[in-house]
Amino acid sequence: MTPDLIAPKIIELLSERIQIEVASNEEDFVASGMLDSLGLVELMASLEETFEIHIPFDEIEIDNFRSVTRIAEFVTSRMAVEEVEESVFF
Amino acid sequence: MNHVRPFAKTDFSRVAVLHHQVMGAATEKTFSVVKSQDYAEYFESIYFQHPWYDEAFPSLVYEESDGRITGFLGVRSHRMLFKGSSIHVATSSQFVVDPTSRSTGAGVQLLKTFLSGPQDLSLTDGGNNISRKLWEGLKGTTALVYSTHWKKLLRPTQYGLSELRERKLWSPIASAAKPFCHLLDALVGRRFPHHFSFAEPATTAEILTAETLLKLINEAARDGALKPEYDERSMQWMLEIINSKQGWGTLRKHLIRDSKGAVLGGYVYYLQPKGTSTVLLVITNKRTGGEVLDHLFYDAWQQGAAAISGRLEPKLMQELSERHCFFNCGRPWMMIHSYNHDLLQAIHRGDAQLSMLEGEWCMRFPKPDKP
Repeated sequence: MTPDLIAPKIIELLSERIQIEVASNEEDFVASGMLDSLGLVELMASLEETFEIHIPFDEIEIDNFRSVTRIAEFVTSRMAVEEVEESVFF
Repeated sequence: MNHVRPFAKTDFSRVAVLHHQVMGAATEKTFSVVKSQDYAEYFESIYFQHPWYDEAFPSLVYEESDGRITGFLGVRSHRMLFKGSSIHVATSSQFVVDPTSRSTGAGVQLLKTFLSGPQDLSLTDGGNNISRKLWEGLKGTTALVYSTHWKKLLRPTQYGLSELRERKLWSPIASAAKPFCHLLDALVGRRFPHHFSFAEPATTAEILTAETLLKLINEAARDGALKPEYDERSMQWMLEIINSKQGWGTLRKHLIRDSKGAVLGGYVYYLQPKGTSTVLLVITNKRTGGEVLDHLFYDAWQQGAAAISGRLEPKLMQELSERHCFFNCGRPWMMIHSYNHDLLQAIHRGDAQLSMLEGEWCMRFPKPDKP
């Protein structure tokens, strides 16, 4: 899974669950005031549910959730980490 | 660049302005502390002068690049014993963010910084639904057992009227019904003696001193996995805070003995005649809980309270249920966060001595004294 492939799903999720319509994948919706703290925790919960990932406490950094591109990169990296963890475990 | 940093004494006036802006309406209506000087004294005593003060657990501010402080999270650290070992507990309170700056994520960043601190357990027990959502979003959990509150009606008619008086529209009806209140409560007491009739207990009460309270807390907590750790100095400080909050009502603190003089436990509560009294602490063990509660209810009833309420102490669940108390969960919520799974489990199964003294109650602004 690559960031480009999951970006459309993130745009859909932002629109439906957080009510944020992004103009581009690079738009910083923290700087533009579209995403507040509550929106951010809702977004994290939605990402965990949709992509079946776990966002560890130490990785909750606002910079990871500023734009569609950043979120897609973060989700991709989490999926990769968890895939490795699962293969080690089994 | 916007950032979170420790709260310093030089921030007092700016945080006072922020707090007043965010909580202003409620503050003016409910609290006496509205002036900057009052805020400064409050910040100094609650966040810098308490007996457990430690620079490693600072209160936090969110400062924007232009120097404005747009967020604050108050922190008080204290010590508790978990399975015999001393641990650091950090309790947060007065969590405020300027509404015009909420899109900066200040709330999440303040809370994340707090939860990332060196404490073994992070706790808040005054959470609303919004702060609960934030805590849970940051991997905290809601301690449902300790978010449960009980209420015992002592004079149901009077209680009903006191609730009506709070509602503007119903207030005239409450005033008109007032003369019949005592008669109705007497009738209700006769009709439902197990619920609303209180015979003088065989136990006796004496005033609880700092020394006896300390001894009682240490003895009662012997069996719990997580329990408070007070010494004489910290207990004295806590009692001063308790004594200073006269706006909550008239303080009643009793040590209870049985007819042979043996100590059964004790309680601390704020009496509100004709209203709902608030229990801060019931100290007892499982064997003597019923007798201590009976004395508490009798005392509050005799002093004219319409109802009495408190936070659930799990070991008293059965005794409270048998005495026809009502239970209500949430608002305020208790939220907890820890890397120690055993510690979290102990709290979730109710194996902890977490009274209001361990929470953010003592960090609240004082209510105005009664006129």
